[in-house]
Amino acid sequence: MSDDPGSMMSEGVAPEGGEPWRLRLYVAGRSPKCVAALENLRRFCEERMPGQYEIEVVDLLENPRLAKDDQIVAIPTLVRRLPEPLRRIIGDLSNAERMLVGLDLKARD
Amino acid sequence: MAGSSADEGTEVGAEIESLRRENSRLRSALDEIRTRLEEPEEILRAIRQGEIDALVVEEEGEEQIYALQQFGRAYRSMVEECFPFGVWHADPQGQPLYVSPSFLKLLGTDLRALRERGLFHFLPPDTRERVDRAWEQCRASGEPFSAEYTLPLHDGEERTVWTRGLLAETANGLLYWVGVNLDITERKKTREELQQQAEALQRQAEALRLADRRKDEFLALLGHELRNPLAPIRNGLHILLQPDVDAESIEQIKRIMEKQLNHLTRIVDDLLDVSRITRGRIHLRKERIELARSVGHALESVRSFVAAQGHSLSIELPARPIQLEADPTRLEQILVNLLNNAAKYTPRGGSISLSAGREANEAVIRIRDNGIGIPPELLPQMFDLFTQAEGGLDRSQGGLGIGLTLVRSLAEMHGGRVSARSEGPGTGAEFEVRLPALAEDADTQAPSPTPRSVPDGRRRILVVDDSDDMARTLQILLEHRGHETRVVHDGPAALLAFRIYQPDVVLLDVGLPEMSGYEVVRQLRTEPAERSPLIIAVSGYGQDSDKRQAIESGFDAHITKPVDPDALLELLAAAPRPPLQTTPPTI
Repeated sequence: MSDDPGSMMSEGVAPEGGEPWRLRLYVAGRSPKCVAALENLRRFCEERMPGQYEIEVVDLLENPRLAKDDQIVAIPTLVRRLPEPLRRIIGDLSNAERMLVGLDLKARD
Repeated sequence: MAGSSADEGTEVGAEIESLRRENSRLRSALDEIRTRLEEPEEILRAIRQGEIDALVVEEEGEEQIYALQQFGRAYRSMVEECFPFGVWHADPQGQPLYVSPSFLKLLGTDLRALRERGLFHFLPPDTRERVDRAWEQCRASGEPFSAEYTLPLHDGEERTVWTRGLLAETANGLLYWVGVNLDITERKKTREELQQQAEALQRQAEALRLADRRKDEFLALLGHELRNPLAPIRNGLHILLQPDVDAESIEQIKRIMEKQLNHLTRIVDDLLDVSRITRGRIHLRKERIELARSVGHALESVRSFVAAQGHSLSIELPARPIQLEADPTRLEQILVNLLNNAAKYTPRGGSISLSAGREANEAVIRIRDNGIGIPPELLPQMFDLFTQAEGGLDRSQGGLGIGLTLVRSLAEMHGGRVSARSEGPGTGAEFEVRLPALAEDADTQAPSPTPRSVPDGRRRILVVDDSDDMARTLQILLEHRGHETRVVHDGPAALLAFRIYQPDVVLLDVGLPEMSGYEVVRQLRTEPAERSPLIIAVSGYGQDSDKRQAIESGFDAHITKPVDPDALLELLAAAPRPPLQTTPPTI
């Protein structure tokens, strides 16, 4: 995993000021991948946009119906509700590079 | 033209603009499609890379969460690794879809081979046919499948596997065979061991029952055998106690009583011998003896009985003497038992033969009769304790069925063996004894046996016994044979009488009160005497250890009560003779 903060900072683009990001993480209880995803997400946000994000955790084991809202198929899935457009990243968020691309913080290849 | 060309220019520009817009729209639509495609691709990637552990599945309009790894992996481990040899999974036609790696590894095969060559292709043909048939029937009927088979492995080991399976319906309504392969090798081994133990126990119980029955039969027989001689003795005694019995009757009754008493003594001797042998308490006193001599002694012992039955007896001895390393008493006992047996189980006027010879390094003695023979079913257990031919001709001579057991035990103690042969009832029987013989070189150097001389010398005998009856009967017996006797009843009196009387022979009861016979003999041995007297222990105890103790204490010989008069008289013959014309001082 290329988890070098220095290199990510130089390549990454910080979110523009103003409205905070609203992120929603869909999980199924405290399964290993979901726990890992939440940890990875928190670390990512603290590094990239400290104080400018909100994380909402939705446990689908408690309420499976909520999966419909964002058409969730696989768990864990991260959904960026704001800023638009809606973006989703599937998996445990262990790859920071993929996170940057998935959240439009870095141009696609 | 210019205007029109300008118009044209405007038109073209508009068209270009329109195309550009269209292009841009298509481009963004394409982007949109690409973005949309990215999502399933992203899901697939995440699944492949193991970044997710649950899926959302819509079932009947409801979302269900299926956890993949958190539970699934543990569950798989449980069924695949927690017990050998895991699970299997097949479609309804019986094509295997999944078999636990542990089982495939054991078989040294893979799923593809199972599909192509058959689910049970790894079994030996017989087993395979049976299991295949069962599997086919279950597939046809949908009944649960269960089969047990033993699997030969490449390393020569075997494993016993119990395959079970059932047709299960999955959530989507499809049918699949799901099953397990259980390693029941240990269980089967345990089961077989238990089975064997149960069988062994049953055999033991059966043997015990048989032994118990034999013991009961033996006790009944023993009672019978003891009562047989006791009855005439009691009757005789009763008659003797009557006044005015004529001398002839007394003589007759005495003979009967003596005969019956001998019989009783023999029974008790046999019983004691058997009990000692079975407890390993008999020790052989081996010495170099000549076989013919033992045969001679044995013949003397049985001659009167054989003659009384009207049997003829023929003997065949080898030209060259055969030397044995044996206990003479026990060898004689073997021969006497076999000869008596032959006489007992042969109708009056039969013929009995004894032949002895050398075969290689063995002395072989065969005793044959033309008597009632042995039923084939009895032959194998002929020498077992308490086995006896039914319907012996003369039950009063019956014995206890322990004679042959003694014979076998004694022969085996000598490193030999015995066997019995018979063509069946009515055809007679032959018993064969084989004993290790000494090499022939040694035979030739052996001294020729000295002929037994009948003792006739008169002896001065001191009888020491605290039982007045015992002492008196011995005295009568000895005086009847022409010997001179003195009787005393305790140790001190014996020491005094010895000094004054100077006997040739002392018959000394071991169990004297206050001063035991052992003590008396020790003191007697310190007495100065012109010649060493023969001191014989008379004891109720006849164990080898008793005899050894007697000899160690200074006795020359040991005889067991009841005293066999013949044996006693024979011992006396070996005693030193008194000097001529010596008048003993009176006490």
